[in-house]
Amino acid sequence: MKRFLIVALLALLSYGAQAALFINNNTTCTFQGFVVAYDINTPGCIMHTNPMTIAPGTSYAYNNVSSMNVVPGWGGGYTATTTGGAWGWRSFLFNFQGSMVGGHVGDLTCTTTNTITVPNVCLGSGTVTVSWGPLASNVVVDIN
Amino acid sequence: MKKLFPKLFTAFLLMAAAPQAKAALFINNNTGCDITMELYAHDFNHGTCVLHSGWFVVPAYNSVAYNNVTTLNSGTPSWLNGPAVLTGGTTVWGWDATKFYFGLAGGSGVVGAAGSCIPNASTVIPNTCGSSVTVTWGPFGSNTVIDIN
Repeated sequence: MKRFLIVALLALLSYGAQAALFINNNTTCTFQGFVVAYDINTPGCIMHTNPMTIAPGTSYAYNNVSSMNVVPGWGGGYTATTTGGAWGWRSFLFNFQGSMVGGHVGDLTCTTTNTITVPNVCLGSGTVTVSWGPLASNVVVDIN
Repeated sequence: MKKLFPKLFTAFLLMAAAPQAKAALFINNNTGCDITMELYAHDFNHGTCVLHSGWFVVPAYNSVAYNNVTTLNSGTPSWLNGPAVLTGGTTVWGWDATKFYFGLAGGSGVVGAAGSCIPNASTVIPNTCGSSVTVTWGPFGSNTVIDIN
């Protein structure tokens, strides 16, 4: 039991080691998204990307916050840095392309939830679930 | 604790069961060296490790993502013996393994999924890229990630 708890604690700790962000759209719908992150110069929940178009059946990978400096770029033309290792991913805002329906998921620092289910306004029926979760030492946003 | 344990155990079982549902493949190179890789996968028409990609480079401090096996039907990398299909869903298709080498830094290795042609999930490449590099293959949730650290 002790060993099991240690493993569980290690799993929780590994969530703190920031690495890549992956966005994984398994639906047939297009989304608009924004990523919120922080670095040594911009702590908190302020630094957000320009709008990104998340295509159907497509996955995206960003190694670190500076991987988003050119595409999609950060709001206000900010250049993010990995200086000091003081950076990380915080949350993901999304909406269906051409619709106000969407939500906000993240690591609970800048959001209140890490998973949300919204009506699938793109297909006109059913729902879409967007989750924010640790994937080994990385973060994955799954859109299903 | 008696009440907590069944919950933890259930969570553990769910984690153990989740890798069956294969979805995206993510590759995450956290080293300062370019790594050259090839991928193996399976689908309705190709058995375990039969789908075989061309070589491709994941540059230093870069990550790549492939949504499903048909993502490699075109572009770089692509299957040498494709196309892949999604027939039968994620219980029928999936990612199996990778072979890789560091071009300039030297050193090579293999990692892959349990039950595949390369069933070891982690390997350490000594004396490369400044020190040693650990490459891991992990099904986490419904996705697979190759971490290069």
